[in-house]
Amino acid sequence: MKKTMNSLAALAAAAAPLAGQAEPVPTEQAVSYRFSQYQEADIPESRTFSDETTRYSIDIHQLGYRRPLAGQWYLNSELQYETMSGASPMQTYKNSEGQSAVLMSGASIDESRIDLKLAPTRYFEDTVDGTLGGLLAISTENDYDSVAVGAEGSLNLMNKHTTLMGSLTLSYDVLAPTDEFLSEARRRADGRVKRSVSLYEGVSQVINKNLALQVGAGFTRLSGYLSDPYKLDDHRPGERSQYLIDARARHYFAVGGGAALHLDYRFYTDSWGIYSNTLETRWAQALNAGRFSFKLTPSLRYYRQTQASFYRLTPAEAGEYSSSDYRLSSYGAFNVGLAASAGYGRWQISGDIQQYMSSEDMMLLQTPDDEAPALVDYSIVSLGIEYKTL
Amino acid sequence: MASPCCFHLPAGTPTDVIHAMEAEVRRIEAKYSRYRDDSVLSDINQRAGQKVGLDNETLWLINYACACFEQSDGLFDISSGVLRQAWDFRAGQLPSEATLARLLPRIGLSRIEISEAHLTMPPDMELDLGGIGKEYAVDAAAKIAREAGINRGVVDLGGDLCVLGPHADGSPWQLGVRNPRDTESAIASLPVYQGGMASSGDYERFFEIDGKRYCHLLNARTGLPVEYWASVTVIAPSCLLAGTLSSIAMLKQESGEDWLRSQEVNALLIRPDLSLLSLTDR
Repeated sequence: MKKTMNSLAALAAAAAPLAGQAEPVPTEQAVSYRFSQYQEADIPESRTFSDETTRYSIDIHQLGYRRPLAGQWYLNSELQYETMSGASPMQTYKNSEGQSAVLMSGASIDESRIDLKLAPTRYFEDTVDGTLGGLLAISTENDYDSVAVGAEGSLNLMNKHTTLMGSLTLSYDVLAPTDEFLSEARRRADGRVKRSVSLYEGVSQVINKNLALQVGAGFTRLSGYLSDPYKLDDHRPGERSQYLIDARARHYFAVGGGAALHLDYRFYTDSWGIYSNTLETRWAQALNAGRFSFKLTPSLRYYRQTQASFYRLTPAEAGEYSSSDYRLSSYGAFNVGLAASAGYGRWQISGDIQQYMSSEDMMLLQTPDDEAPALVDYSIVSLGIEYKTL
Repeated sequence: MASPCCFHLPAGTPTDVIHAMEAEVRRIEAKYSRYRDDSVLSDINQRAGQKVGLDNETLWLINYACACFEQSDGLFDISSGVLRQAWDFRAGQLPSEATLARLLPRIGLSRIEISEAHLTMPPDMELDLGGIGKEYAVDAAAKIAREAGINRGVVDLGGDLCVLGPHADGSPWQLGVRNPRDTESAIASLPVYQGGMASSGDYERFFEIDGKRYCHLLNARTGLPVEYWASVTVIAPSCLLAGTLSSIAMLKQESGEDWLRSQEVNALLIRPDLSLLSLTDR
């Protein structure tokens, strides 16, 4: 190190890596509970075939537990229980007046889902600096079972200024649609399987003490029964390749108890002809008052996508791919959110409210010709509490 | 640790936080103690001359010590502990010039090599982290408290301090500065809102011959005790920085005053006649 006029600055710089030093294995043990309610807005009455306008509602209970294991291992785990009720769109079609109309399923859906995730992580500090983690996730509901295994790793280089990260996830899902007597599609899907392989590679770089950047690329290959058995005339290809590139920036500001501006961008395209762009920004503000610490994070996200090549509202020829699923249509969406948390000693309570609005008009630059009245607006409200021991 | 240690924490601070802080201090002490054969430091010293792999924390501390060596022009040197063989403060005898001449060539942190988390030092060298270990432990204990959401209080390990944050009413902690000639009493108090405060003085280990005081703070290049200041107290962002700055100022003797001024820190320098010199960052 070169000797400088200000030794304090030089010594402080020598002391600085301490903050970024590690990551040592976390030592804390924590139990958390979170309740979220997901509520879809009603569908416009004028555009439904039946008078069913109430859509999906999901109550989600999440129980989290994390703790150090022996040696350099740390475990994250989560048990989730969801109950779903309401109706979902079965088909969007052109009615006799040339308008897009929605056929709803009727408020017949009433089911639950249990999801268990275990993610052990091994921390390395000596010869290499990084982490290696595994993932096991099992989910079961009356018409769908899923199991996923994954591995992810990170490697810190250049005194932690550069981090390489990668992950690989494999999943295997089995379908068992309810009320098979209702349609041929439901019967056809019974026992069918959906597989996925997903790969992500990224690199993050600390530019200076206030700015960090990350770029990454991902690839997912889905195969098997990818149609939606609950939708009418839904025939999708048996394979789907998805590609994404993302970039994230974090800028820190010494405002209040510290603040960070997040700016994320993501480009996505797939073999079904969909292109999408996502832009998200968040401001994470920390505030300290005595033994209380607060964090407030407002966020704004914009999403737009073009429709899948086989998206259509008119009946398809036999053997042709087709779907009227609004998630495969051209549309745009905004999401605004506000997350807040308060910590006191070992306790932390948190709340989060998100409002999502989507519409074909929100594509902004190029509005599609067809309306998509099934496009959903929803809100998510969550409340959580966490207790930590050292 | 040999000196009284205490944590002043707000009422209601969970006991496991306090225990974790205490355990952290003990962990660091055990890891870097030169009195324990099983410490990481003893292991490094026993393997002098070989290439020794270092864990992140030790690597970081030794790198920091190298920065101290460079910024003090070689006066602050964690390899100067061998001079204890010449200076026996219990016996109170002056070493011979021959003894010093034999030990001085063994000192010099510039002779160590660090590459890729491995340390190689000459076979005759010995490291002693006594000058930074305790200050580091103060900051480490304070870090645990902060991470547990405790933003008020003081961590005090024998006069090396870290203030977590001001009193509940927003007022600063008034921290006493030891009287170098009557170490049970305070000679002054300094207001600290947050950060580290540490003192270095001629009163910790010393003997006197013919009214002249020989203290344990030794110039690493001459092997002789410093005598210009009775003590130097510095307030800095962390206890480690405060401790290093106060030690270097002591070692720099007369030029310590100008050097501290150029660091733009709050400091209190006490001359052997107990007159005070206060430096403020304004």
